[in-house]
Amino acid sequence: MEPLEAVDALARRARAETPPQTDVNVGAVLRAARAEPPWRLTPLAWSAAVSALAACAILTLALHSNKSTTVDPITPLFNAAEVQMP
Amino acid sequence: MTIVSQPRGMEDERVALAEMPSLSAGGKESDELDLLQCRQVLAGDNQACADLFKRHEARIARLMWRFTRDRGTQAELVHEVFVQVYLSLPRFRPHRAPFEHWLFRIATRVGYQFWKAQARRRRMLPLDDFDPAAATAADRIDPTAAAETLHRLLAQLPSADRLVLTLMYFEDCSMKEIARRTGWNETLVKMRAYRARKRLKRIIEQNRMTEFLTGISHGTT
Repeated sequence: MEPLEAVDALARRARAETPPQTDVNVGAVLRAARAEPPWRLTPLAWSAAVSALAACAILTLALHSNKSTTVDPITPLFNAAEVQMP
Repeated sequence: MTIVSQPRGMEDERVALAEMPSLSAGGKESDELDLLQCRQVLAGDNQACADLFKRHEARIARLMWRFTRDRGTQAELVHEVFVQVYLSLPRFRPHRAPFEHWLFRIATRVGYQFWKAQARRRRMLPLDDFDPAAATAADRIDPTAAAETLHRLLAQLPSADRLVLTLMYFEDCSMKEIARRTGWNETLVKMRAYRARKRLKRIIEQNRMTEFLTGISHGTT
């Protein structure tokens, strides 16, 4: 028997299992729901917020790195010209 | 009837309340009762909320048992599902799907998020300490042993693959039903199912479990 056929047979058997029941405390559910902060973000909003922050961070880094590595192309030319003056 | 506080966002959701259609034209009795109780919950009726949750609890508990084999965790997941349901109720649109479909979608998402959090903490059920002989010595055809074995096997897969196969194997869901419950499109679900089964086959072969599984299967048929 192929492994996946065996898994299929196993699954058919597993479906016959009677899962344990729970006894949900509705009062606790309502208390927990009301205790949730109103600004709680949905997963989509979280991902949008994180993406926006990441974009800001990348932009800031890019701007800073540009500033520090910018080469002034004019001054060295003048210096070189001064040195070669008779 | 006890009227206490209402779920947040209720004031803005008067339209949703008014929009809730009656399903008497072709819907089931339970769908109508769901809608009625949703309206009552949105109006702040805690007793209706308790009735609504209690009517669906058994099926939610059953589904959550597919995400964990620990009874305490199962109870926590069921609790979390109902918290999410209560918080999301103002956004429930009955003309899009019956309450039960919406409820199962939330429950599936809660279970999936639980797995993803578990994966981040790397708390997987190892196959190394799993002794097939011991698991089947008592009774080869015990459904609980079969479910335990399948649960451990599927736990080796990434969360998305595991979710597709869990719904397929344990809940006997079609691809369409899995797509509806997960919110993924049907093509993606089919592709994930195909890849997940390939991965599962590799895991079984790597752990030399083929013979053992075949033994169980013969015992079950």
